[in-house]
Amino acid sequence: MIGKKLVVLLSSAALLGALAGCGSTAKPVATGGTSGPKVGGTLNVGINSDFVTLNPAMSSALIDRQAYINIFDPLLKLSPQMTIEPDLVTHWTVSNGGKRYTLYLRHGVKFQDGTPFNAQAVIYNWKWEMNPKNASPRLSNLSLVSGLSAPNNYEVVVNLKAPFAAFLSLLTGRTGMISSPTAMQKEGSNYGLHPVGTGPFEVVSWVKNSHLTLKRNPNYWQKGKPYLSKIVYTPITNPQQEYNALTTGQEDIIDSVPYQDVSQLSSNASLHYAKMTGLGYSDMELNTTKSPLNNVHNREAINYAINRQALIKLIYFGQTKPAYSQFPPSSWAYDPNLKVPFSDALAKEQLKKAGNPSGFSFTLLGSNDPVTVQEMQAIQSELAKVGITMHIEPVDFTTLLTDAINGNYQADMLGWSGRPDPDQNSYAFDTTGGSFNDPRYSNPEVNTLLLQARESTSESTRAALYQKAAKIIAHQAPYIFIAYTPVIQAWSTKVHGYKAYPDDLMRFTDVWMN
Amino acid sequence: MAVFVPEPILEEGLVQPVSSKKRAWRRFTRNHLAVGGLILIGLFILMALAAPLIAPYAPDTTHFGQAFHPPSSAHWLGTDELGRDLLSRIIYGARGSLLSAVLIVALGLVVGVPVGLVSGYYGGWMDEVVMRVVDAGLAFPGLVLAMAMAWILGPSLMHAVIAIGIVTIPQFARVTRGQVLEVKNREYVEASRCLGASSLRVMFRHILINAATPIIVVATLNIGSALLSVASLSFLGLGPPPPAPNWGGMLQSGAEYLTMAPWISIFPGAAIFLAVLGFNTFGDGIRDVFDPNHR
Amino acid sequence: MARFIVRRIINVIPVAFIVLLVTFSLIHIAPGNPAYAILGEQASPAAVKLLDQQMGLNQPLGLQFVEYLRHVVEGNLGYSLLDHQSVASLIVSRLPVTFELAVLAVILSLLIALPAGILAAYRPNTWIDSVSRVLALVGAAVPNFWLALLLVYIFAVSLHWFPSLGWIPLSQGVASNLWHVILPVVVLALPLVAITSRVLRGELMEVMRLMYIQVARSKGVREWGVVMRHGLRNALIPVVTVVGLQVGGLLGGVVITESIFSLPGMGQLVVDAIFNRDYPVLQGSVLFMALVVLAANLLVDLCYAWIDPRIRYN
Repeated sequence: MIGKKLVVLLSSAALLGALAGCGSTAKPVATGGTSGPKVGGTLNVGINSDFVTLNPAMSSALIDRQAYINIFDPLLKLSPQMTIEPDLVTHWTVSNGGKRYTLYLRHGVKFQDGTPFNAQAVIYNWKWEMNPKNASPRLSNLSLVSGLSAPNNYEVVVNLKAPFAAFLSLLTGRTGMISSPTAMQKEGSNYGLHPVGTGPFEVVSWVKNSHLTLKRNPNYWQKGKPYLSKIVYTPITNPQQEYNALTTGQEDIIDSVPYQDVSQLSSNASLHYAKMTGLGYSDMELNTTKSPLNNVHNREAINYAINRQALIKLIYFGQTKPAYSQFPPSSWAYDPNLKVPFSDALAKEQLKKAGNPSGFSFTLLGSNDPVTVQEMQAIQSELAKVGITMHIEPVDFTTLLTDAINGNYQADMLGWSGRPDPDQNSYAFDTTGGSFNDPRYSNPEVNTLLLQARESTSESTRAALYQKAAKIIAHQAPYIFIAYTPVIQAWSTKVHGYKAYPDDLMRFTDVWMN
Repeated sequence: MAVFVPEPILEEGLVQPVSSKKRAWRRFTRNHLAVGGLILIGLFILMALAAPLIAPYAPDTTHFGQAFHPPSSAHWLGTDELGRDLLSRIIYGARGSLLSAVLIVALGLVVGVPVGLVSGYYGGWMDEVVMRVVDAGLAFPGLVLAMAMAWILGPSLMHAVIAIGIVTIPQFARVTRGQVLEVKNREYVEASRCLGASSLRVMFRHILINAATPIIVVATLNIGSALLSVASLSFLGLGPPPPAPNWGGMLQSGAEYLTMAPWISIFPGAAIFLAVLGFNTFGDGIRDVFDPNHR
Repeated sequence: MARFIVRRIINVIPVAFIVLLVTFSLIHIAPGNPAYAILGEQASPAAVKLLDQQMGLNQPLGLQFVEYLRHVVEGNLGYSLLDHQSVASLIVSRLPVTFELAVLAVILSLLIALPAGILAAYRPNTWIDSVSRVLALVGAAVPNFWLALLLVYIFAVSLHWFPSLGWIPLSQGVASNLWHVILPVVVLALPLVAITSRVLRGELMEVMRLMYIQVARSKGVREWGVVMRHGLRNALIPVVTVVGLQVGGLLGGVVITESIFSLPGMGQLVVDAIFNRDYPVLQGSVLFMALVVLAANLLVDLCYAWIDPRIRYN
């Protein structure tokens, strides 16, 4: 048992080392007022889109997690280096060849409605999510679970059908966010409007498209915390407007800064900011079942014809790095030697091999927001140089997702927000029939590699497997990775104790205002 | 946006315009604003027709290294977010904008005028029905209905034209009907009817000709508002897909970089403004000339 | 007059019926199964089937329309495809924002247009009149989204005088509420100023030409007094009409300004509905806006009758 735990700790240390290279450039926080944290104040938070639901069991929108992280404590939490740390689960053991996880829960924690937090509550949540009738997006995360039991009030035993290395990582996300069973039963289908967690803040009111107000949870299990008495989230979908709202003082902190404004942040004395590589990436998906992109050489030609550095300079204003795989530089699965060269000559060679030396044409679906349209036009003009004609079809985001999932497209422009464990960035994307495998890519070798990686408990073994798979993917190009998504957050100097994380989520437990 | 002429001219206006083409022209040239409007329209039409000759660069050629350049001697209006020459894109953009505005008004005329003509001429229950339909059509906020239709049909210039065109039909029907009612019982119409002219002939030869002026005025003013509507749809992302330049779409993508490169959105907006101003001023002017009693 | 009022109200019924027919048929203007227009051309057959059932799209058209009418009369405008909230309650929750914007825009436009129109009529063909005319032409030609961006750039981003976006409910302080709506209200008011000032000028000059004013003048009343006392009262009637007829245009402007200034009103509801492919919300909002315009027109006619009972109607 202790040996298993050691593995966990060691892997965390390895991750820490890997992250040391990925810098976070925060301005030194002014130490003028030496007064410590104090209770009170309202924090105005700008977010880049509106929440869809406040029920973590039903959420599939990325933005929802910004609220959850402050309403719910996850069972396990992530450190700023994205290592897994105890939270509501104080310690754990892995046994039975990686197929059994025993989670020990924190004592004396209560939900915001007074319901005690215990093993029964955790199992209630997971059983609800595993019930197909409830159509929870968490179902696929828990599909490997074969049995749940509670030997006592503070111990949950999870039996898996197969070893699953990323299971603990899941518990840092929405699967690990536990709702009050009392509230779930009472609210029924309205629970998404009135969620009840154990976290530092509780929901006061949510007016769609206008604001979400949270207030301090006075009974929070971390005594004395949090400090803020109120948080107001306002969705501002236009990035420029969101930034304007920060500089004009309407918002105290925003979840993203337009790339072109990053350079002025350092000269603004009333703002702090943090910039780091995130967990996700932006990419094109190429449908491997539809002509002409079912031809691997045509896909490769696209891969070589795109000048990632130029695109990054133009669209990201140089604020990120080119991407060649699904694993960001902060991940231990990242391979710094994997690169796809930018070369029109190589692209033309591939076109020749494909049997269409003078090029081909296809249609790229993409979201109709102006910056995506700009990026698509930039790619269009890049591809035109080697004779590939790309038509652009901007559509609304719902249509884009539906078409991508149903495979009714030739190419699309999407991205992935990224998760801490490499399995979460690759398995569902690259294996045959995977739930995120929009390109319908199928390669037995990749399937085997990724399955081995998910079942192995050794991080170095896993890293080697992921790097091998990444090389194949880069060559066969069902995805054209373009850039890693940078996390850039900025906040007013009135805000103290804030720290940015690579997962972009804004945690406010330790934040106070003066 | 009615414009009113001084009283002495009002008195003059009692004379039938038919007998005084020269005087109408003189009255028009004396109206400096209207002449200005005509010149503006002329410039934009010239720009659209001669785009390949005037434009200093190709409108779609990107130069990533030259993106976001402010106005300079090489790029008079600067470059956009992909390094394309803004002036060239505005010049080429005039084509789509003007063409779509003209097509919209044409659609309104082709459907609205006959409907108004028939409805006003025959009257009775058919007129009742048509007028209720027109009332209903005018009840919809034009832009909102056009947005809904453009979305259902899918984004393209043709669909935007159809959507906005349909919304303008009731206006033309109403104006035409009003004119028909005014002219229909005049002596010369009665006379030709007595002489055995067919209804169709009476409607088109006698009534429509004499009802033409206000329809022309409304059409001119509508070109201006059609330009605005097309630009609004494009600005909201319901216009034609890239890379074909269109003013509203250029403004939309420029808005993302408003603080850093304001020229990308300011100049296309100025082009829309000037073109609309031209049509509106000209429309006002010809109303003064042909219809001094208009209120 | 009572007869006129009753007739006018009865007249609205067929018009409202046609409005409903239009909003009902909206989704049918696209070829093929409307479910595809709602969900996107490439929707899965299962999703299409579900929506067909949800919205009753698989029933005969006539029956669908009757159902639609019945629901609307009951105040049921359908449910959002996104979160199943009732469309009627969504509209009600957005109404205060749009209502405040519209009312403030009308007030602001009158504050500018009344003096401008009166001065121009009082001194026609002078520089005052020319300035007012040019301003009116400019006001009618400025694209509202462009004006909004310029105002944000100048007054919010550069000068920091006003917030660039957002909404503070009136209940949280009148001052900060007004602070947030000043720029959007200016954008909405400008075209209204243009139209109203010119109509007022024209009407004033027309009224002043009329006999009884000549008489008043000959009696030695000062010219300014004539304008204010006799002219203005009569000229205001058409002004009311013009303002009433602008409700539709105002709602179009609201769509643009609310989306640029991130104000949670009806306009934003429409834009969001389009981008979320939330057809019931779009349909309900369009219907609601059309009914508001109808009601406004009715109100204008009734005001008309009330202000000036001598006016004859046929």
